[in-house]
Amino acid sequence: MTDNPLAAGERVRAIPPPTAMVVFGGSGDLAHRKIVPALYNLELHRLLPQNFAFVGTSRSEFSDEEYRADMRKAVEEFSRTQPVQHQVWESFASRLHYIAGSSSDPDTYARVGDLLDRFDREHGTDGNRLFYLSLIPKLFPDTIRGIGKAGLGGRGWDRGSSRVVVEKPFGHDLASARELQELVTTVFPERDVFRIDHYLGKESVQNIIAFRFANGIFEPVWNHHYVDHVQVTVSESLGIEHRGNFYETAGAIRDIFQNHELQVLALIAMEPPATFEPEDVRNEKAKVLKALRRVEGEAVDRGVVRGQYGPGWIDGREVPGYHEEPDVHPDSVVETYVAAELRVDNWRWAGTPFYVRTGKRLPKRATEVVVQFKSAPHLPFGEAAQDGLEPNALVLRIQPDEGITLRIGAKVPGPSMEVRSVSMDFSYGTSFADDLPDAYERLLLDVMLGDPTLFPRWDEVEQAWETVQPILDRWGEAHAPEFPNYEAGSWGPKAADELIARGRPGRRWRRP
Amino acid sequence: MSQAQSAEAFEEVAPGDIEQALERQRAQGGNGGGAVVRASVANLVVVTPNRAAGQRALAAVEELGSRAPSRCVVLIAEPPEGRQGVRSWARVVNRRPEQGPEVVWEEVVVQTNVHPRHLTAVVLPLLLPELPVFTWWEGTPPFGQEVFAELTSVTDRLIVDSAAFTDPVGDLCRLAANLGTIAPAVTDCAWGRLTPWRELLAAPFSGPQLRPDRVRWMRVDAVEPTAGQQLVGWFASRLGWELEEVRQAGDELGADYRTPAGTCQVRVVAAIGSSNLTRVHLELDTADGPASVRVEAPPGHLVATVEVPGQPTGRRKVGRGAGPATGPAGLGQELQLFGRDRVFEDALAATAALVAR
Repeated sequence: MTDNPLAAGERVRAIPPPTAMVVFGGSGDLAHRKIVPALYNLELHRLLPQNFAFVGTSRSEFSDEEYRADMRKAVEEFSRTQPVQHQVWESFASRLHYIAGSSSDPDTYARVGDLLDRFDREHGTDGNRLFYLSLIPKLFPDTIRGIGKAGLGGRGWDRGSSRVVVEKPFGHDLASARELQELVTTVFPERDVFRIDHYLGKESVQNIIAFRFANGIFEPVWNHHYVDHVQVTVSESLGIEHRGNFYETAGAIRDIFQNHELQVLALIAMEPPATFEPEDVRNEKAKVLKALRRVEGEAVDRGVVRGQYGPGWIDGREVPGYHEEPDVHPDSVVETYVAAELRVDNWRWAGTPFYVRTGKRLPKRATEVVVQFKSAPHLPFGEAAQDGLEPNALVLRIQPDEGITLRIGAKVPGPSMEVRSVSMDFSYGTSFADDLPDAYERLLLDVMLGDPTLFPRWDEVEQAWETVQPILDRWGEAHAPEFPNYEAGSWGPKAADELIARGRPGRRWRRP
Repeated sequence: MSQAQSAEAFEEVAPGDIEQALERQRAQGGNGGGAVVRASVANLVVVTPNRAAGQRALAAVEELGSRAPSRCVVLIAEPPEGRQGVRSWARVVNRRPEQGPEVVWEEVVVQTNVHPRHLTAVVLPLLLPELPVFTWWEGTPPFGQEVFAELTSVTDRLIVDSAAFTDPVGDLCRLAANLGTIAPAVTDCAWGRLTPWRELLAAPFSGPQLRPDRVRWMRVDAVEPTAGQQLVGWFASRLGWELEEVRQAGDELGADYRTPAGTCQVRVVAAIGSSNLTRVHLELDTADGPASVRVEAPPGHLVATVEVPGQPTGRRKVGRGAGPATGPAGLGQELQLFGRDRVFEDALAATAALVAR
């Protein structure tokens, strides 16, 4: 805190104020895999506030001791630092508590409120509340109302800060997102609402901002004059694992496209912010999302491709098709792949297509952005000599091997003047390899510090839904393609290749 | 972090052939022998007085792992006796962690007894171009001498470890006096090792109950004397304390400060332990009565205990992360910092004022 003179200087990291944290869905998968391991690592690295207390709540019956033992197992399995330091864990666990209760029962919130008051007295948490909704979306409304009715929400709360973290997806469609927003903001003001998109907590995604705005040489060519098109790819080799129930209600467009991919697109296309202050960055992202041209009606059929995987082979083993996955309807038309041609209608990007795709059961896990530049205006080498030459491309590899690839033309050694494309690969790891914090550690710390830079603001989320909603509407009324339409282990439906080639002959998806 | 490491043996080469030797080794070792796009971030020059110290420095650099500089030049600067000359060795180190990409750096060892005024000329050609130069001076730097001035003139950041100073009090004062006269930013590994202590001591003051300007008594049990003194200097400089009186009794240093809210009595007591400090104890006033903050270092972790009137005692145990009392952990942290550390400079000035009395 700036008013603590002992916390000044670059070595002493920002120390959050006293905080009491409540996780609704406290015995769920996310609490086990991410939230509690992240908190343990923050404590291990001295990043939690001195006065911190935690309560998990869900329907399962646990005593505090049973909950702590369960979470200890979770940390042993999922913490990025191993082995678990016994002394640190015991000290941390003494501040973990549990309340069993239903999200629809007002008594749950009364008991949470009583415990939070006790935290203030016994742990010095000073009235600062952090509510984390780690729940299936249908439980959001009851929980938010419950927090509000118990008088714990940010509006009217004058004993400290009261913030809420909402896991994605924020809404199921545009209407439900707006409903949810209306409900959330009756209890919490927008400044206290933190919509978590863990992608934005990844170092590699933040590096897009560093790459673009710490390097002056790319900015002059970062526009429609020089860029032929941009590709954003999030490919996963995994299937839906055990998330059939969720996936059947979401599909690739809600799971990845509407949030992660459009956020990455916004970072690529945004104007340079004046400062790295939260609202400056979020304003620029929101402008990009607002400038996204809506693809509506029959244009969806031409500009958006959906797919669903059939059986195939991944990593040397045979895998079932989507229809054969657990908890999936055998006639499901839920998409596991989506590719779209998007346009950012502003001065910088007019006429430059953005091709965005994501899919499951693709050949490998990779997230990357390709900035494909236009060809040199004139090539003097003769047709045969420049046969293997392609236009320059800059690839920002986000995961798994974070780095940059620049495709450039180079002379083939020898007496004749032949040129070919070569890739110059750079891995960040060779210079900055380190034991990086998990995205959840960074984001939880930011919430406690009240820094929303890496959390999408409502207008960003709303604009993203406005982009996706017409696609969902069209899919609701048009016949689905013949599913499955791509084999597990392939790069998706043929229609996606046709989509990108339609813009200009020869355009193709980069193979990550 | 478990790591597999492959390192070429050091190859003795003439100083003028070092770059070719490194290039050849890189081509043989990196990425299956193909061309490697290097991401270079910094040079590290280690200045040591003899081969044994040079070996220790190399061992420390190898333990830096992922924080290793792109090129490390170990300069063994022996006294200019007998026939003057330069011998040099070079190797490329590849480190492959279990997860994550490979890290590659280069090490050059130069042993020389040329006159100190020529040392800069020996080092300059060995640095990777344009990258910042960190100079780690083992032991006590020869403040005021020509060699010190020469080498710091090509340095962006000078790293020392006051725990290894020959005359800790005198050398600390000389370091403080040099801050304003030499170009590079200066840092002290002993100060870096105080960071976990400073974080834990600062944390309770981010809440509403405790105000740091109400500290009235402080005791530091210090294994490294300069660490204890710098911690006091940090409090004094951050909180605007004015030194009134200093008492030295054997290993114990006592001082009285005038603070904005009254006075603060300070004791720095010699201790034995495996970390730089073993305990820091603050007593302070609150509106409801006296409070205290204690940070202690039992083996393996740190314990922060806060006692505030009307509240149960708050106790948390966290990872130490301070590394051993001397050695690579502190150095690795210093290599991450580029600019001047104003908080350190202010603390050092206050420390010098304390120990010089």
